[in-house]
Amino acid sequence: MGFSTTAAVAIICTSLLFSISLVLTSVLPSISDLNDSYRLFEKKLIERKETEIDITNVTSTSGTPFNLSIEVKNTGSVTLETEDFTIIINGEMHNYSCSEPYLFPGRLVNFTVTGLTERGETRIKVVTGNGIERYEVWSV
Amino acid sequence: MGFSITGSHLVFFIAAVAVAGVVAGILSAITMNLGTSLSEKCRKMQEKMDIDFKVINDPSNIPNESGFYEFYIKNIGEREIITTNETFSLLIDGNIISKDSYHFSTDSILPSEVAVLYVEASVLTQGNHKMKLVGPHAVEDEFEFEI
Repeated sequence: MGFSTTAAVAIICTSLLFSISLVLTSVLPSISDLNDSYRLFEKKLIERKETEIDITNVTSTSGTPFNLSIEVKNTGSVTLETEDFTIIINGEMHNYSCSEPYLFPGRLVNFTVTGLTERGETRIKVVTGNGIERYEVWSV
Repeated sequence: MGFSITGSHLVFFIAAVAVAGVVAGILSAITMNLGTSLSEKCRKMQEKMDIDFKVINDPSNIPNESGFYEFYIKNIGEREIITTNETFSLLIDGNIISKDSYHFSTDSILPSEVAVLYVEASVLTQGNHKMKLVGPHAVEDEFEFEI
């Protein structure tokens, strides 16, 4: 009787150890990955809150078609990658070139859009990589 | 008599081992099931947190090309988004739009990139509208605009 109990307890204990090792090896890495994602999500939200831009000046070249130069200032506290920006002029997305790869806080960069044909009141929208946007209406 | 005592001990032993084996098996199965479910749940939550997109059009100036209105969808998340009619559902003014009435310019968008959502012009009348775009893992964005 005593040996039977010992054998049964030994089997259940082995199974418990197996279950614990299973939890440690499969669930813990997933929870750790989830934690990393949560940290990234948190960082993204803070970055979005601290991102702010301003369109400070818009100039155009003479003639038709013409180039538009949009001066953007980083008024937030997050460094932005200029290749991640999107520029929409009068509702349509346009390709652009930018001299600087990064827009540091407090600094200005110029985005140049080429081949435009319509002059007059121009609605300009600049969107950063993390979705912060700024509108301006300029006469060009 | 001696044999019957040994025999009954043997029966007890076999019964105890069998019961312990069944209990251990059930415990292991439950743990494995729980582990798989938790891992899957964690993976889905992780994907949901990494996916984010935004409609970035000028709301008062929606481009119309060849009978389709163009909406710019920017990936502002950390993960590539698959852009198909299966992964995205479109609602305009609360009505679900048929999957035949819209399509995307690309099959996927990388972080910071923009895809164009083409919506048949016949779906939209003149006036103000509210669009709700529901993407993978029910991540959504709302956008008010005028035609």
